[in-house]
Amino acid sequence: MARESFSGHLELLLLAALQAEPRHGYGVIEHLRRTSGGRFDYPEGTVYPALHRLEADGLLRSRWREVEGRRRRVYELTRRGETALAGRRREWDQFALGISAVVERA
Amino acid sequence: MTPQRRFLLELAASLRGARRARRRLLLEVEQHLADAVRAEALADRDLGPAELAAVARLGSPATIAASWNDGQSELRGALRRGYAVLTLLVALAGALGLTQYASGKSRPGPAPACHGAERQPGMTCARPLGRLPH
Repeated sequence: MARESFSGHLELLLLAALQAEPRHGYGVIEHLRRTSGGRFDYPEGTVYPALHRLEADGLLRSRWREVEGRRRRVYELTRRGETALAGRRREWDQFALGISAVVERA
Repeated sequence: MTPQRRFLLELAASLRGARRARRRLLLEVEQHLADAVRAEALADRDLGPAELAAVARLGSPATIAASWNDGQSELRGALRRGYAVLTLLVALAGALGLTQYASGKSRPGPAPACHGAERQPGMTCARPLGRLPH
């Protein structure tokens, strides 16, 4: 996926990546790579400012935790984050349906 | 100097915003690089190429700093708006308090004394001055 398309959906992807379980930044990036089959081409470092923004918006919370013998900042969804994810997922579904409908008829 | 160290120094020099938040971001990126180098090394790369690959995957320090600094500008804007609302609320509360104080000062004072003829020791005054029947 092109970088512009990816960055436009980064927050949705991060919220979705944290839905199943709390993860640290590298874990989120690994999850995105694994589940997308490596389809995203983006600078991995931009995930961290996005995580901080989502936390500032109250959609995530984070704390330092010891993971595999190292101190990591682990993120998890807040209740507001879960609600936001549900809303953004609905928007995405509508958007994807609309695009598909147009592209397949073209 | 390792490529990771160089990357972190360059990133640190480009970040704006609160010191504590910047420090946290740098620690997270440092941890990320350690994980990424280890993963690259596990994929049979020598240390040097593993470090370069890990740094390359992160993107340039300028790209990360731009994304970070945009977020910090938004945060500062939100804080400024918050302070403006707070200032307005304090000003309104002050104005309301002054109005109440001023209206309290213009209220009538205690009931006037009764006529001497009506006043008896130990009794509450029955009628204030000025309301005596004619």
